[in-house]
Amino acid sequence: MKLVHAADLHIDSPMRGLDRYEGAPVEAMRGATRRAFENLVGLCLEERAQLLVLAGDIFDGEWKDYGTGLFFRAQLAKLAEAEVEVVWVRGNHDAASELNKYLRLPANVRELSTREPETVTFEGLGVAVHGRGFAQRATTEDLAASYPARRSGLVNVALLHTSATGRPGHDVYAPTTLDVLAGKGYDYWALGHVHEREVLCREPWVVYPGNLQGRHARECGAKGATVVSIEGGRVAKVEARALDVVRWCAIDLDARGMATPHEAVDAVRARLLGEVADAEGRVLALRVRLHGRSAAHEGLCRHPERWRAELTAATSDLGDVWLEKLVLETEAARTVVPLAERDDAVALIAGSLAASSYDDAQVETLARALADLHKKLPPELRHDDVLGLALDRPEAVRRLLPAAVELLLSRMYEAE
Amino acid sequence: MRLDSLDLLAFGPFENVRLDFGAEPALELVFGVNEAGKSTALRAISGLFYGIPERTSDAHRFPMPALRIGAAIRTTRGEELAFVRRKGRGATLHDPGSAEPIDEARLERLLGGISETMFQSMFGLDYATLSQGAEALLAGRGEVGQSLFDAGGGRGTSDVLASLREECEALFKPAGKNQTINQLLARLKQARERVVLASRSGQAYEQQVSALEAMRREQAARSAERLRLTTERSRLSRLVRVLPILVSMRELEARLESLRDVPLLATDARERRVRAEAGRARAEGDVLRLAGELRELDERVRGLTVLADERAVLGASEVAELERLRGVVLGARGDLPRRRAELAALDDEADTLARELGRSPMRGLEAPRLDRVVEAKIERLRGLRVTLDERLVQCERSVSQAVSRRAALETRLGALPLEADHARLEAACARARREEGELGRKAALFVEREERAKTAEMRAKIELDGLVLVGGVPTEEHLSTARAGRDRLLALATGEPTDAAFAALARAIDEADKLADRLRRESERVSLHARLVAELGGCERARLECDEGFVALQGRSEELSGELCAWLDRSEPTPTPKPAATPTPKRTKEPTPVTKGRASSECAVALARLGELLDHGELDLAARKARARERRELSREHDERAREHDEAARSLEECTREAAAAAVEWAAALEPLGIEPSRSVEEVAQLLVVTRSIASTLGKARDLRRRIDGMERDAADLEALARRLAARHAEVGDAGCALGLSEELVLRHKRAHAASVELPALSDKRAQAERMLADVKAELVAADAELERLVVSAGAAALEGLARAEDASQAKRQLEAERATFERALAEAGDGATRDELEQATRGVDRDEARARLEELERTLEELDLEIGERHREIGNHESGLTTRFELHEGAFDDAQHVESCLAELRTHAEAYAVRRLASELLGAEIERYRSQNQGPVLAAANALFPRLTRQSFTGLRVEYRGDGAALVCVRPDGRDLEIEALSQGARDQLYLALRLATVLRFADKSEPMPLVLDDILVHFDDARSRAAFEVLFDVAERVQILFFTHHEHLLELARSVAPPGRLRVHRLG
Repeated sequence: MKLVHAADLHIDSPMRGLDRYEGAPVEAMRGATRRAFENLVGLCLEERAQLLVLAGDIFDGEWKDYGTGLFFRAQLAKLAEAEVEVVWVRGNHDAASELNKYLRLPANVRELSTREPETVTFEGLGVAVHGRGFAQRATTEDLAASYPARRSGLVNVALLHTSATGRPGHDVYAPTTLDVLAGKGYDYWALGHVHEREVLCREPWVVYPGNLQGRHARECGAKGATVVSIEGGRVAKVEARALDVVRWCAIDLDARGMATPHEAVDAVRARLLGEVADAEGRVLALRVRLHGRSAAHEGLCRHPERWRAELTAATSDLGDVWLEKLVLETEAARTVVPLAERDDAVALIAGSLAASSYDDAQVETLARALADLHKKLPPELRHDDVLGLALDRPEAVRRLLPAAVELLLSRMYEAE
Repeated sequence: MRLDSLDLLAFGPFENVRLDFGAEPALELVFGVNEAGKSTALRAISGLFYGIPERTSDAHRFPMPALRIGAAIRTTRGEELAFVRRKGRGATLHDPGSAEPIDEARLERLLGGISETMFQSMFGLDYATLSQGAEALLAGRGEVGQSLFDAGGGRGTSDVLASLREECEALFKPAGKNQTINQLLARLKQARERVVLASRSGQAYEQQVSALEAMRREQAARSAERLRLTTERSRLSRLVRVLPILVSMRELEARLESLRDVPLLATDARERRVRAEAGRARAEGDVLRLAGELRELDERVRGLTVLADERAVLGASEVAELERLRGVVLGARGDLPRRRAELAALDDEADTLARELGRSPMRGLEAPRLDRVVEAKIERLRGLRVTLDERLVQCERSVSQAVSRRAALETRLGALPLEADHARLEAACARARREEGELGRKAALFVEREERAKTAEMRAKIELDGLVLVGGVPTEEHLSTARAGRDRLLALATGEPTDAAFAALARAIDEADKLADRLRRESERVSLHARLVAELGGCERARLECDEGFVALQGRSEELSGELCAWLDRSEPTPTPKPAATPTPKRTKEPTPVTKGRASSECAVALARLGELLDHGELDLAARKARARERRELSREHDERAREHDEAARSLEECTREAAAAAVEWAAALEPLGIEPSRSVEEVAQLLVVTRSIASTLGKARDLRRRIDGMERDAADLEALARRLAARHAEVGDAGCALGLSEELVLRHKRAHAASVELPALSDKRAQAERMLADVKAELVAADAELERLVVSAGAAALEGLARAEDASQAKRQLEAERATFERALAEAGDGATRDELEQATRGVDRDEARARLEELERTLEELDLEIGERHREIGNHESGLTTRFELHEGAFDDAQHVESCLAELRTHAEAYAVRRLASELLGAEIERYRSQNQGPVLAAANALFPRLTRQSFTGLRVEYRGDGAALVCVRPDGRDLEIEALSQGARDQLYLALRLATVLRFADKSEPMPLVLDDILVHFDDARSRAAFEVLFDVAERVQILFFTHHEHLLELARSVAPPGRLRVHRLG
């Protein structure tokens, strides 16, 4: 018997950070989270799985549109036709969902209670599924601690949306420890909430499958679900399967030894060839970060927009590649002599503009110059989120200062 | 840091060119005319310090990997480094001696961390940059911070600042609408509104689903009513269909009842009867026909037997021979007379030809023998004789022509002089030409040296005059003279101590002391005077040396002219006209005293004459060589013609010998044919043709005679054979000609043969006719039996009643078939109901009433169908709307994604704005900071330089504080201020130069300076301003090494004119 474990579907959550440009593979990006969920349903049918467990964050919070629920129901109906049982719990993003208020899900779908731990038993499959969903978004109690005892004679699977012992970049919800989980004596803990795939333990199996589809540059790499094979009343095999339709990837490249920006573009292209092969035909959303002391630095900083366009053009023949961002963190190959030893104008500015030499008062003064813009920006860009600039914060200004200095120096050299 | 030397080892057009700058401070002026490689040298300095660029235009003489620049550098701290830079990507520095690599960091340290761009911006200056800097001063209206910043190597900062601010304003304005970010904010708002509009709630979905279900229920009720009505319509329709069928069936069954006793015959009974009757009639006819045929066959067999018996009388082989001979004789009967006439004609023709040869008639005789070998031999000899005749004529003509050509060439050779040896004259000319060139170069050097001496003498005289004009200059000689006078008076006073003597002694002592004091006090003037006097003396000596050189050159020129004339006279048998003779000056042992300038002009005249003489000599030599060449050519041709004459004579002799041999062979060949050898070759050819014709004619006559004899023999053989066969046959008599007899005999034999062949075939045919007669009789019996069987099965009394029985049986069978058809129609129309059920259902039903009711039902159903269709469409629309809106369409999701795209785009532009805004803020702050730190020292230095550069047109610079900041103003000698905008272009250039130099000096105060490279910055300065600039540069060069590149000779002279002693080093390129 096989069961499929997925979590953090975030159906209809948009791709973030992708500004449109001429030639961008817009169509390929449309509805990526839906296509990924369709792939999940397809996986269940292909593997002849008899049970699908979803460990929370099916949706991305309150539905912007009822079509999201209808789509979900239509896909589950396909599983019902194939007699695949579905069990799910709510995660922090689903707590506010209007699911069940109007939407009637097919009979093969069971939602576990949010008030107390609940167990669903599938005698025919020899499986008992335990779990409890989030009643509200901020659930900080250890839900696992109150899960029921193991059902003997059955394979015990538990659904839990949790940050476990804490994961960077993820809010702390339903925290718990491996000791608590192992203490329950279950065979398989199907976790959700952390978007990176991770196997916390093998005896018993404690698995984060990762989210189903990466949605921004912090969610790189293959995304998908976990196929669990059960043989002889025990977990025999656990396999990861990639189901994403858009693959986010980040290329970090040390530009040392590169004489010109063209060389940097060529190097990115060479690296990208491997990523394209790994993506197996999927659309690639690409973030490129160049760093290191390099002779190409001045050329890159002088016309960053140009090199972004050059990079887009250079990768256009490799398939559907959407360049999300070109992050320039290179440093000039030239030697900046300390202020004490140099007295020319550019040396002065090069020396004194080093961001580290700015005290808080100077940074605050500079931040005030950006206040007008900050006030006008939408909330998503005001706060320090995936896209956030947070221009009112000193650290944001310090983050932008190197780029400003490089722009300035390159313009001044160009003026010579 | 300064350059001690720069080695252009392999770079651009240069190969191993060294610029040695020396250790003492001086202005290094690098002079190179246009195309001399001045720009290349400038690039070489940058390449030396910072590497030769990846792409360079300086690899046109040497390939890229071979490019090399070397240098020796030294810092003010005394660190030194000698190195060579090669073109390459890594480890491009190496030691010039050991070729070991040098770490780049070592050089970087000596460069004080100054980058290439910094070096070029701060320590490199050309006129274009100077001019742009001056323009920037104007644009910035002299704003102090900006001006200092620009001059301090941050040139163009005002443009950078302006462009940054401009870009910021294009991106965002707090109250703007058209800026990129402002527009994106508006787009974002619209996208959010679209998300709200496109959102669909669950409640709306459920309401629509409920409405759809109600519509579906109503539609189901309509469908049920339609079913009921359709069933009733089917029933009535069935009744209307079956009623007429039932009536027809009843009538048919009544007719069948009347035929109950009629037996049903086999369906093929009638066909069998007709076939049996026809067979019987046909068999009877065949019996009669076959009996007649048998009788005829018997008659023909008997006749043929009689004819066949005649074959035994005439033998088959004899009849065949008879038939052959008969054919031959019949064919020859017409041909024989014609052949005899032809034979007579051939005999006549042979006789005629014999007469042509001069012989008796040839009738019946053998022709003269002329075989192919003899004929070919005669033909070959005939051709040989013709060829030899032609060759004899040709050889005789060749001999004659060769003799006349030899005579003509000998005449021309006699007219040319004998060849002489010109090598020594040629060597003399070449030697004189080389020496003339050398003399010319020496003369040019003397001229240049004399010119320099004149210039120096003139300058020294002017300076000396100026010195003396200010007041007399005491000299050591004056002092010595004064002291000698004093000593003499002292001796006198000692010898004759008189008052006058003491007074004179006192004056002399006073004068000598004053002179000594002046010598000490005016030591500078004294030394200048002494230097000028020494310079004048040096100039005079130089000029005298030049004059002596000119005299020596003139003497050597005239000597060479004399030698050349002697050679020309000696080598020429007949005197050649020479250039107008200039009296050769008589050589004297001592050089003639020369007047200034005269020596050089006389030397030039002597050199010119030597040149003319050389030109003439070279022309004469060329003419002599041409004549010698012509004589050699004629001699070669004469020898050639002599060889040709000997060859022609040999050919003539050989040809004559061959002709005699051919004549002997010719006579021997004609003798057997009886042709005289004296006959011409054409006559012999004609006689050979006639001989061949006689032989041919006699051959034809012989063949024809043999053929006529054969024909006559065949006629006799036919006659004999025909008579012998006729005697053997009783019915053929021996009267008549042989041809007639033979024809009858052959005919009789053919008839007998034909009868013997036909007889067996006729016997076979008769046997076949007998077999057929037997078969026909059997068919007749079988037909009678079949008819008998049919009569019995029909129950008829006789054969005549059989047809009626068949008609009754067929009528009964027809009615039964119709009844079956009605039964099938009833089953079909009755929708599968049995006949009894249908009879019962139709009982009491009126067909017309049923039809009327049916029509009414049709109308009702039609209306119901329309309504159902309409409602069905409504439901479909509702369903598809629901599907499209809620299930297929992704609704607000698309718009939400658009919001994200807007946010991403907005973020990109917001970040770009923030970076630019921060950059502009930083730059403004740094300019102000630079001003505050450097305003004092730099302005102080510029304040000292600017009046000197403007030759005191301005006395200084001042900072004036205005509402919008501090600005530079220039101060006139009368105390007036002049703002930057009011300055002339030239003054602005000078101001910018003063600021740049002040910045460099300021840099040198605090850091290790680089060499200052100035590229023709004074090209648009007039001479006075250039002099002033050079004076300033000489001072700056005391602290910072200056490499001043120029291609203007006058700037070089100006620099020399103001250079302190030993402070200018001139380097020439190219």
